[in-house]
Amino acid sequence: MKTKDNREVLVMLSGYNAWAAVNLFRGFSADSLPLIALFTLLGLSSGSVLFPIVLGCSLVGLISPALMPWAMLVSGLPACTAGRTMKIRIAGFIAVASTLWLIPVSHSVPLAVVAAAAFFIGNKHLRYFLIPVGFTLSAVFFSLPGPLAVEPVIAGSTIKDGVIDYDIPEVNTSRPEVLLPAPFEGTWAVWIALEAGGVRDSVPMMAIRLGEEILLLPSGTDTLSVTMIPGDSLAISLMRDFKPFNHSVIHATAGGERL
Amino acid sequence: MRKFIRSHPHSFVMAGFGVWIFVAWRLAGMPDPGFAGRIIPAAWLVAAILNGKINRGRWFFPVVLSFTVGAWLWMLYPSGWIITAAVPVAGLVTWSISISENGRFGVIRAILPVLLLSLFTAEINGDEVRFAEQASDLSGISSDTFSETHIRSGDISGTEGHHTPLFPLLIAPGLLAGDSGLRIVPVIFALLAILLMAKLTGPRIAVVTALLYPGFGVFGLAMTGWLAVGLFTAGVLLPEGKKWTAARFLIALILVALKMRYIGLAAGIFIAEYACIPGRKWKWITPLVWLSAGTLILAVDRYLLNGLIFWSRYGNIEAVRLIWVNIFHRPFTTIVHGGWSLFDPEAGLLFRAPWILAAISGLFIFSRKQSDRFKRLFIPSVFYWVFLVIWSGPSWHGLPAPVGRMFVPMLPLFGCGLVAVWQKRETRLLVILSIAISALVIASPICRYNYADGTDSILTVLGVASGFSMVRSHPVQLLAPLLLSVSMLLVLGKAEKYRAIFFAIIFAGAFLLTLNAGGYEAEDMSPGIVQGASLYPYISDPVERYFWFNSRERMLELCEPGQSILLPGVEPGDTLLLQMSSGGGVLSVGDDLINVETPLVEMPSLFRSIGRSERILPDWPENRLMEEFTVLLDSNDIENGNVRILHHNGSPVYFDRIDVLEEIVLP
Repeated sequence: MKTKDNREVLVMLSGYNAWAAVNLFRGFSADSLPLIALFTLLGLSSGSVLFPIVLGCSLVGLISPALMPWAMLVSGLPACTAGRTMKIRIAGFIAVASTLWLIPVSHSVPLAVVAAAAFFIGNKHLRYFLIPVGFTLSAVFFSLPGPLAVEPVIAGSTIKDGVIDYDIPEVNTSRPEVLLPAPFEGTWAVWIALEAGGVRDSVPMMAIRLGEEILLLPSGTDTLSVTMIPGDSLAISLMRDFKPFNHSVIHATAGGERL
Repeated sequence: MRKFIRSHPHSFVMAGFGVWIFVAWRLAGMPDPGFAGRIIPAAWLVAAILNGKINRGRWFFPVVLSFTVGAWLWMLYPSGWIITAAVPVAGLVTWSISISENGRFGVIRAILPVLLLSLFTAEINGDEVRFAEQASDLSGISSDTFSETHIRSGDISGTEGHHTPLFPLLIAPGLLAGDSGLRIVPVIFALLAILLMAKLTGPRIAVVTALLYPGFGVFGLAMTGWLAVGLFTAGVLLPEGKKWTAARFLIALILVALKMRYIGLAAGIFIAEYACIPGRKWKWITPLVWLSAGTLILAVDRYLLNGLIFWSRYGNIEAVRLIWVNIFHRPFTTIVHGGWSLFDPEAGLLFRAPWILAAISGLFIFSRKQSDRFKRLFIPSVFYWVFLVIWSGPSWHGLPAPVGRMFVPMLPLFGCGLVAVWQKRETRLLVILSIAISALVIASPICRYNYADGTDSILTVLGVASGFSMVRSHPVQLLAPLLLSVSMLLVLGKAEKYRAIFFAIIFAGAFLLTLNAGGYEAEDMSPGIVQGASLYPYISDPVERYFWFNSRERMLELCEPGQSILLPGVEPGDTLLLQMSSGGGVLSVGDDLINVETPLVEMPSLFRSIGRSERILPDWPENRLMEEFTVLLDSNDIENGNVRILHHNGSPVYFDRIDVLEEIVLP
C-alpha cells in the first residue's frame, strides 16, 4: 500500500495491535474483523476532517463489542461518501461491507446501496446528499436496521421483606421486549402500571404475555395485576415495528408481594 | 432578504442543520423527541443566529453526515440514540471553540448555545439545593421549594449546613425569580470568570476550559468552582506592586470564606506571592521561622495548656490530626488517593479531560516563557491539589456531585499550559476526545454523576464494565496508567518525532480501561443473573461507604426467599470461586449447602494507634471479612447450563464477586 509517509502505516499498526490485544484477552470473535478495516481507514484518514470521527468510532468499536457495528457504519459510510481521496473512500466501503457481511444487520440493503453508489457519483457535493437521501428513502419506504440482540431484556428486581420491586427499562423499537421473571420461590401477586404512547392511532401497540395468557393494549395508561409462580415470566412487548414519525414507547413500573 | 442570505450563507446552512436534526429525529423515531429532540436543534438555531458571517468550518459536513448515519442506525443498540444525539452536540462545542476568537463578544457568543444546553440538561443537584436553602434562610428571600431547610450528611445542625455562608448569600438575589432563579447569579459568575480567563489565556482556550471537563462539570451550576476560578484568575492578572499584593491576599481570604476546601489555593497564593519577590539568598528562612513559631505556639497551647488559648475556642484538633495521620501514618494510602485522583475512570482528572495531558506538557514551555506568572498559577494549584488529597483522604472526589468539580480551580494553570501547545496536532486530538465526552454528558445527563462504586456512567452508556477503578483495583494497577501518561507526556514533548506512538498509547489506554478480569463483580451482574437481590448499602451515595475499613465496594445481599443468582454457561467439573462474607448464613449452590461464616474485621492497627480504642468492629456487613469459598460443580448442581445460588437460611450472605474456573481437560 502506498502511503504518504510512514505515519499512516504506524497509525494503522497501532490499531491492528489494539485489535490483536482485544482478541487475545477476550477470545477471538469473527465479529471483530471489520475493525481491521476501520483501523486502515483511520490511518488513511489521518490529517483529514473525517479523522476525529473515525478515531472516536475506532475507540468506541474497540472498547464496546455491542456498539461496534454502529461505530463501524457511522465512520465507514461518511468516509465512503465524503472521503477526500479514493483510498479513504475504498477503505470506508470495505469497513461498511465487511460489517454488513459479518454481522447480521437487518434492513441493510439501503446502507450497502448508498456505500456502493458513492463510487458512481463523481461530484463531491452530490455525494454529500447520498446519506440524507438514502436515510429518508429507507425510513419512508423500507425500514431502519433493527436491534442486533436476539435475547429479550430482563428487568431487574429487588425483594425486601416479601415485597418485590421491578426496575423496568423503557421499551421501544430498539428494545422491543422486556421480561419480568417471577422469583424462584413462592407465589407472588404482581401489579404493573403501563404507559404507552408515541403513536398516531389507537390500534393495540403492546402485548402483555404470561404463560398462555396474552393481553393486547392500545396506547394510554393501564394497570394490571397478575399472579406469578416460579418459572413464570411476564413479557411486555412492543407490537409496533419502526414507522417514521412514530416514537413508540412503553414505560412500565411493577411491584408485588408474596402471597 | 436575498442580500442578507448571501452575506450570511454559513448561518443559514447551520440553521438548516438545526431543522434537519429536528426532522431526522422524528423520521428515525428516536426516543425523547419532546426534550432532547427539541433542545439540540434549538441550540443549533441559536448558534446559527449568533454565528453571523463566520465560516462554519470544514468539520461541519462530516458532523452532519455522521449524525444522519447515527440516526439511521440508532436501533442497533439501546443507547445508540444517545451517542447519535451527542454527535450534533459535539459539533456545537466544536463550533463554540472555533468562533471564540471572532468579534468583540466572541467568548460569550461562543459559549451561550452550549451553556443553555448544559443548563437545561443538568438537573439541580443536592449541593445546589443546600446552597439554595441556605441562601433563602440567610437572606430571607423565600422561594417555593428552597424555603425549608433539610438536614443533610455533614451538616452542623438542622439549620446550619456544612457550607460557609458567603456563596449562599451571593446567589440569594437570584431566588427573587423563584426556584428557577437559583442559577442566575452563578451563570453571571461563570461568564465573568470566563472573560477573565480569556484575558489570561486568550478567548479560544478560555472557551475550551469552560466547555470541556473539568470546567464543564459545574459551568453555570450553583456551585463555587467557577467563582473560585474567577477570583484566582483575577489575582493572577493583577499587576505587581504592594497594593496589588494586598489585593491578592484579600482574594486568598475570600477564597477561604467561599469554601474551606480552597484553603490550599489560598495558602498557595500567599507562598507564590513570596516566591515572586526578587531573590535574596535566605529569603525562605523567614517564613519557615514564622511557620515553626506558629506550630510551636499551637502545640504548647494544645498539649501544655490543654487548648486554653486557641483550640477550645476556634480550633478543631481533629482536622489537624487528620492531616497529620494522612501524611505520617498512612503516606502510601495518601499517595494512592493522589494517583486515583488522576486516573480513576469515574472521578479522576484525566479520563474525562484528556486535554489536560497536553496542557501539562505545555506547562514546561509556559514556565520557561513566563516564570513569575507560572509560579503564581502553579504553586497555588499544586497546593490546592495536595491539600485536597491530604485533607479529604478517600473522599477527595466529592461524589456523587458532578464529576470533576474538585479540579475546577486548577483550570487557569491548565489553560495556560494548553496555550503553549495548542498548535500541535496531538493537542487537537486530545481536545477532540474531550469534546466527545462533554457532548455525551449533554446528550445523557445522568453521565454527569457517578457513585464511586466502579460503574462509570459514560462506560455504562457505551455498554462497558471497567475492571479498573479506585474501589476495585489494587493500587499497583495504578502503575499502568501512570506509565501510559508519562509515555504520552514524553511523546507530546517530542511530538514531531514520535507522532504515531501517540496512537498506540491512546489505544492501549482505551484497552486498559475496559480490560475486565472476567468473572462477575457484584455491581456489574445483569438482571439476567441476579433476581430479587439488592446491593448493600441500599443507597448508592458513596458517603455511606466513607468509613468502611475494608473495601468500599458495594456488595450483593442474599437474605430472603425469592432472591437468587443464576450463573449461566457452567459445566460439570467447573469450579465456582465465591468471594463472600456473612455472620453465619447457609447458601445453596445447586444441590450443595455452604455454611458461610467469616470473622469480623479487627480495627486496623493504624486507627488503634491514633486513638480508636475498640479492637473488634461492630457486627455490620461491611465489617465482616470477605473470604473465598470454592465449590466444585457436578451434574446435579447444573440445570440447562445454569447453576442457581440461593439463600437457604441464617444470616444474610454478601457477595463481592464470583469467578468460574473451567475444568481443564488434559489430552
